[in-house]
Amino acid sequence: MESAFHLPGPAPSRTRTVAFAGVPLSVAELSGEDMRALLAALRARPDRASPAARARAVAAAARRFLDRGDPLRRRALAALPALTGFSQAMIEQALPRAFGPLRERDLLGVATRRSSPAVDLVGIVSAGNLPGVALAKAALALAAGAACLVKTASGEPLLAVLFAEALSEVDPSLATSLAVLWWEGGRGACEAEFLRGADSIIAYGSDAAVGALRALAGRKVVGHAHRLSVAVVRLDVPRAAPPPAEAAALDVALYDQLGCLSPQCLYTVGGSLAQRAAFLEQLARALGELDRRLPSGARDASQAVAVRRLRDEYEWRALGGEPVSLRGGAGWTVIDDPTAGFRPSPLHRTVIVRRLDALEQLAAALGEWLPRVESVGMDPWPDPEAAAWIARRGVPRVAPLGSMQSPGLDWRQGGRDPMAGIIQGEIA
Amino acid sequence: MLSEVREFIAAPVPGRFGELALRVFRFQFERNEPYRRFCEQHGRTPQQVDGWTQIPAVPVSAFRHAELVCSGLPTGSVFLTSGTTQGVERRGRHHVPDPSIYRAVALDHFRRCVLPDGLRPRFLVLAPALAEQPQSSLCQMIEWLGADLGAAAPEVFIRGGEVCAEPLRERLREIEPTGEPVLLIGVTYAFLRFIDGCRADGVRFRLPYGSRIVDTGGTKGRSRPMSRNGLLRAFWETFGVPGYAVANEYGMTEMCSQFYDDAVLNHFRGRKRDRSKLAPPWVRTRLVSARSLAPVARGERGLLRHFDLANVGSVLALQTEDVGIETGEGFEVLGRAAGAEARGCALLLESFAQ
Repeated sequence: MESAFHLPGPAPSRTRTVAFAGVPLSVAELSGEDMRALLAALRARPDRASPAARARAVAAAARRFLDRGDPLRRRALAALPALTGFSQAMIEQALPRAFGPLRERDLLGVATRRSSPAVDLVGIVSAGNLPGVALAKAALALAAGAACLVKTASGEPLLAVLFAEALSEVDPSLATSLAVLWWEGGRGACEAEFLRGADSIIAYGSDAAVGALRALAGRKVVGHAHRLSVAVVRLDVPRAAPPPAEAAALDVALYDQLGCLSPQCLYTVGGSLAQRAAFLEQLARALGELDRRLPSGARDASQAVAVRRLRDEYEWRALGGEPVSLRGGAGWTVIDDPTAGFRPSPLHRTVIVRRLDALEQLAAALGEWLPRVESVGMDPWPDPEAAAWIARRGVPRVAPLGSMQSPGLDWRQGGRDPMAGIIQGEIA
Repeated sequence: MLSEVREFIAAPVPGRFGELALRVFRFQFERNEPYRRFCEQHGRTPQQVDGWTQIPAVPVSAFRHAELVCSGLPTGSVFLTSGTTQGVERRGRHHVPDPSIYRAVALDHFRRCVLPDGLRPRFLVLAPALAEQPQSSLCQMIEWLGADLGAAAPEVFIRGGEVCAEPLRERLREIEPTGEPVLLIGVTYAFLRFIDGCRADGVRFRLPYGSRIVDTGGTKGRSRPMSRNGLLRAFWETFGVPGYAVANEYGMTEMCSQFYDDAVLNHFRGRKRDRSKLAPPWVRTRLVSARSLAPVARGERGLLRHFDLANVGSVLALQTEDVGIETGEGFEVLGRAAGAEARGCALLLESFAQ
């Protein structure tokens, strides 16, 4: 049985078994006093290596998950499908995306770009089931010289634990700066001590979850609430090749569209009806192909019904004579709705393809959703003028189609500096 | 076709259900244009369907987007669904070309499930009057029930969407000593509001023996959530009506027939069993997987799919989003398969659906 914790120092005095999505994991049970002691141990860590040495060690630990023969990677691949609900093939896609960016040079570059010193102890509250959501922040915190306590999410309680294990093998001294734990969020003396004792809290989750943490821990919480992404396919500019439907399909399919960088809506801009129809056809074919190569994961009844409800709506609107249409397979849906506008998708590879006459209509089409947009994917790429125009609308990330889900460490998630919550002082 | 259905409802022959359902399906395929296109799109025409379970089921949301009515029939009545915050803002329209069929099924199954002892109680209504909401199928049904099965004209205690709590309390106080059983019927959230008010004021009633309660619609986010058992306890505490005299109605605007808990019927027949929703003889219900829409194995949860002959003028096969499980001679409704939680970090449609 895998453990859902990795603590520096002695083993916890009490553990129990908890089933995560039916998978039993050993969980450490910490009282408030235990948590105080853990935080004190993290603060008293012996490691005082140079930033370069720390970045080198973190990068070396991360590389183990890129090595096909590494036993830690094999353990991640064995456990994560059942824990997260993603298919095995998806986990294989997720690991290089989680660990690939943790390169020594990039860690050092981002972690030392600002002159402010790191806080002493960063708390990270992870959420959801995307593998390794908190890893980049934990890696940056360690590279910057902070100690770090990661509270994992029920949807993915393992990968940060395995990373801590890797780090303790690569650099036992630096590993004394990292603790990974799961506990049931929202209650208990353990959580209260954690929120009180950490210097800053980087928190992921819904608006409600982040808001609740902020109410308890105040301004030291740097929140990353749920966000959404869209993509733009320009048919109104000269192009050397047809738009890359396969790239768009990959952005939609990765993490079954559950990520904040997953495009929920694709906008074609201008172009002829034939161009648009060809793109839709290719997109549908590519999603169908991906459904075989990169199978979609588990969906519960409410998620399946949410997708079906949208499909039913568009099927009946089409039967009623509206110029909309629907293509779909067991694990994917492409809806052609040539009106501008936006509505959030029920996800699980359900994408609405809308149409704009000109790129400048994008902000109006997104309307009240614009402030929640994390990323806009674009094709063709590069298009510096369009990218700058989108960035000026407050969108933190503009990326080429096919790379929407591969942000670097310098990703300004939620519009914030990547070191927010890791270095001292408030930074935008 | 209408007369054949009317005859079946008047004297059901269970063995004939499948054959009649297939003939109603053929009739609807020929006369209901959007339904025909739907069937063709799914490759399920009358030539390709050999059993009633294969009749293509229309999602209930389709009534918001298409006029699902058979041509060549009288105009009859049109009932509107309540508003929705999901998707395109439209209310569903259910055409009922022959309201006499709707009336017949409403009366017959209510009598069977709620008044099996032939009681003619006074109707006290916690739903809007038909005059206030003429396009509500529920209001129409209650109007018919009160007029045909009640001891006197139904007395309505909702005006302008508000529960008339004080007049109802007064009326209940008058009824308590008479010994004459009454039937309280209405929407669940209105009952809850009235009960909350009574609890706050320490008011309780002991309605005469034989009194009944029929509630419908659930709380639908309009009041605090309460379990079925909690509600039954609240009915007992506030009205003195025991659980065996309470029947929850399950129905929908898009469907002419209704289902009721079998609790009253079981009590009347001296049977002890868990309550389940009972279908009338002209309705069959199947459970299907939310993901594949294929039938689920017995004992598994699934989405309810109804086949209602009384829907002869529109579409008889309806796919709901209600999750149920087979129990006893019927099924139990476990709730709506909605309100999906975000598993990742993306905003999703359902977060904003309520």
